Amino acid sequence: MKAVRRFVRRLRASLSGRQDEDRLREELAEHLDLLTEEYAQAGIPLDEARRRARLKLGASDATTEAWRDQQRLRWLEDLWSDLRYGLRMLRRSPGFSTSAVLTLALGIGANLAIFALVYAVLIRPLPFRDPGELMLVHLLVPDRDAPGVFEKMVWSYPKYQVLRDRQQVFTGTALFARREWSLTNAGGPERLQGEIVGASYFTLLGVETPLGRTFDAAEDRPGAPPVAIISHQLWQRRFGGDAGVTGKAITLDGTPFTIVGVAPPGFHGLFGLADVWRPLMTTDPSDLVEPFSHSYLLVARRRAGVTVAQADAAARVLGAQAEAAFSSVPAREQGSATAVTLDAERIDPLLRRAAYVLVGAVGLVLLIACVNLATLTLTRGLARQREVAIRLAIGASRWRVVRQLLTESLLLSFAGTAAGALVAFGSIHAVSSAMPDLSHVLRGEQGGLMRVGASMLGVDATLALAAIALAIVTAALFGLLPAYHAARGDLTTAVKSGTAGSSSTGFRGMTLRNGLVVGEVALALVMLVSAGLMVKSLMRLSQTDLGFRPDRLLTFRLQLPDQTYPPERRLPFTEQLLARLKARHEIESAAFGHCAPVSGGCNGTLALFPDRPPAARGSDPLVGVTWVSPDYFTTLGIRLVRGRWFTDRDREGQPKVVVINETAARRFWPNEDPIGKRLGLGQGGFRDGAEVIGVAADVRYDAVETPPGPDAYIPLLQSSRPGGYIFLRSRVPPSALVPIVGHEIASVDRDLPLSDVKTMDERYGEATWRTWTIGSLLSLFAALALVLAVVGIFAVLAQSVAQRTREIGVRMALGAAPRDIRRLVLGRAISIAGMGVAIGLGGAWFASRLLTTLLYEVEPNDPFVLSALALLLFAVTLVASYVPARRAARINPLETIRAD
Amino acid sequence: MAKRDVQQGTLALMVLRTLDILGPLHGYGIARRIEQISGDLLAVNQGTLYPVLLKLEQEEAIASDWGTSENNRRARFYRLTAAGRRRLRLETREWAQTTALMDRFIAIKAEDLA
Repeated sequence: MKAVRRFVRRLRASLSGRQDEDRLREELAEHLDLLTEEYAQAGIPLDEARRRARLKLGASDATTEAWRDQQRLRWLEDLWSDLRYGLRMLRRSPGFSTSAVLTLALGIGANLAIFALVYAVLIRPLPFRDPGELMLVHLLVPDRDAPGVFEKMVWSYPKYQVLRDRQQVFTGTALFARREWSLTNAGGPERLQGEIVGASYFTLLGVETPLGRTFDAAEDRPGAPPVAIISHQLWQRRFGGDAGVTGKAITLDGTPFTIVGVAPPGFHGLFGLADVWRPLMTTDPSDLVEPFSHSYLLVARRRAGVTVAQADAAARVLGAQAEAAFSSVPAREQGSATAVTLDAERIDPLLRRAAYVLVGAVGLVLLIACVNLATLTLTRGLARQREVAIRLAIGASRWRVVRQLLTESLLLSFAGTAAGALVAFGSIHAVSSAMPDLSHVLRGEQGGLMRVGASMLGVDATLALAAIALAIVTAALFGLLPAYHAARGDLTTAVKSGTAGSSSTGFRGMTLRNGLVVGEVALALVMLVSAGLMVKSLMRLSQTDLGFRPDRLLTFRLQLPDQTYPPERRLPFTEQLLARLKARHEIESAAFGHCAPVSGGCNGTLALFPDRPPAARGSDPLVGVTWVSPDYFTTLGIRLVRGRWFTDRDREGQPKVVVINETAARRFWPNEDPIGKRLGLGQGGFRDGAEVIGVAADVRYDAVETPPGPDAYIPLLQSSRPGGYIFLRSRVPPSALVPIVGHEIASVDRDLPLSDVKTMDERYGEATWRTWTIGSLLSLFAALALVLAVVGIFAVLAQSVAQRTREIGVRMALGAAPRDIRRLVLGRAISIAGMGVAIGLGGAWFASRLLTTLLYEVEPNDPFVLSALALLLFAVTLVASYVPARRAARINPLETIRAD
Repeated sequence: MAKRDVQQGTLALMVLRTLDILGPLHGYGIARRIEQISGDLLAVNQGTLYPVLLKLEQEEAIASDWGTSENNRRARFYRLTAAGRRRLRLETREWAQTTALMDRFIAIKAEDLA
């Protein structure tokens, strides 16, 4: 307490300035006068009187200084004077200061931007009550292709009941699943994203409804009343923020639901997309008794005192019991369950990996920037050797000199951070306004857990702290070594020597700087190789044959509600709509397809072969299935390999037919003509088999990166579907079709919403978004690294030439030709580049391993990428050394020798 | 440091005592009196008096005003405050106790402890 009071008093004294010191000085002067006067009156001559008075009074400066030390915070005042001095020094060399601040602005800016992103998607606590307690529980089922390997799977309601009723490690559990509904009241029709959830979902997460209530236990029982909770956004958009919205109805797929609550702003469920929530119990009751209808994720809150491992162990036991309750397979083939923290699955693992890679990349860029600045500062330190030596000679401690030099580095670093923050938030703003909401793209296998967009990337205290920490670390990285180096200098030689950095003291500095530049080249190569591998992946990706032509295609989702469209009405409606669309002159052709290429989410089922002896249980191959209208193949531009497409005559009542893709043909009928063979499918009423009439080229339905598997097409005319996509090949720019399509749909059914309207190019863009973003960001950072490294090499060589002017002059006077001198400088550049590249190749070999999962059709140690980029770096280094080499060769020996 | 503290402590006590006896005085006057009484403590380095005065004033044991000295010069006159008087009493008593104790120690002989 006393120490604190003293600190405050001293701080105040430091801040309030020199009033008391002035007074002390004044009084001492007064005293001196009086003493002198007294001696003079005693008859001593004035000079002698003054001398005696001074002796008696003592050194008044020492007195005041002792007073100051005792009264004030010395370090604070030193810091202040260091700051002022540092500013003066930096102003005096504007070239150095500007380039340093610019370098730092880029390096720190990139780091802050990436940190803001990583913080938002990976680190910031999830917006729920005690998010650390929340867990996801997944069923684990054996992988039929790989014995001993288990895959995570969603729950069915009966299996969930087993776990729910027997578990003791969670305070609560709730199932949830994604759904889509058509909203038809309160304004025009709209396709809404929603979730069906266990009634305790909201209370479990700790999400409270600002308006109305959450679901209650009565809504968790069969026969629950039709109620719904809506998102804050939907409330604002469709209900005008009406405070009396609770009790009103919202019509979903033709059924009215009573709104009981409004969710807080920003909450869109665990999938991050929901605008409406309905109790699980309002869904199809038959689903609740079907143990193999797996469609629900399970969120649970860990009981206090239960560890993650204990919860997981309990989940394994209960999962095995749940599996055993509905299965007759032997126990060792049975699945179980696993519990993982919600936080661990908040983002797709590939994106998590990508985020780490980007953090590593910007870290490398900053490291290179620091190396650059360290060499610059080191060079400047040499020029200031005499200044430092004089300071040391008149009594400054070495630590004090280091502090002074470090203060200058800190000043630069903070200026760079400020500029970097502008760069970072400028670029974040630009990117996030271009992509306001990334959650559709970012959802991984478990779905995105939150909205990723402009709103998430705010500036908050954590980011500000991160920036300050970064500034300090950066200053230490590039300032500590040069400061130590400068203060260590031997004063006598430095003070004596005429020119700054004569060869004797310069030598050590040179070796250090060479080492730093070698490091810089190595780091730059690591960056270049990483970027090169991603760019090559991107090139392979863009060369990938998608199996269809994505240009001039508009796609949108069509979902026919069961209430208004019983099965027998679906097909006539779809055909009528397609006919109307085809009649427009802007539209070349129109077709229906059950799922969209490169977007994932297609059905898969068992392939059966009625002509062959029945296969062993569980060994039937899997096949992707897609329901299509006859014009689907021509509209998408899919190549016919053999046989024929579906026609309007392949209808219900006619013999069942299927089209398969090349992979299916190759895999199911190797070395045989599949046309005319019979294939059964586990879905769409095709179990008994249909005739294969055509073979289509492979289309990538899953991610662009995923190689196609066997696929089969079922004619829509023989097996209707309530939902799918409409594809329009346009004669005009496809986005111009949107209002036309809206008009045509409204003219057949006013209540049918248009949803998920995208051009095929947009879908392709979303599918390649991740590789594209990582590739371009890494390229950007690699370019930065390359420029910084080249600048670093150039600066060091130019500096060494300037320092060795005299030596070179002497060599030339002794008969060295300009060519020899050039060789001297180039030789140095080559050895620096050679060593840097060698070390860098080693580093790249390790770094590229981290990229493996993000690469596409490229090996991490791709010899072409490695050698091309090593050569590039080598060549660029040599080019950068050309100017210093030429300058050295042009040195006039007479002038340099005369200059001494 | 410790040595200076002791010295500063005694010096402060001397200042307080001087002002107590003689009433308001300027710095030079205080120095003269202390020199007169204590002899060599302030024979050299009279400047050390002023930090003590400043400190005592900051601690509100003394106060200062502008006044005119004997030979018509403007000078800062120091006087004892009520707090200063209390502090003088307290420190005098402590000093007396300390010296009494030290006296006893110094006067002691081996046979006294037997």
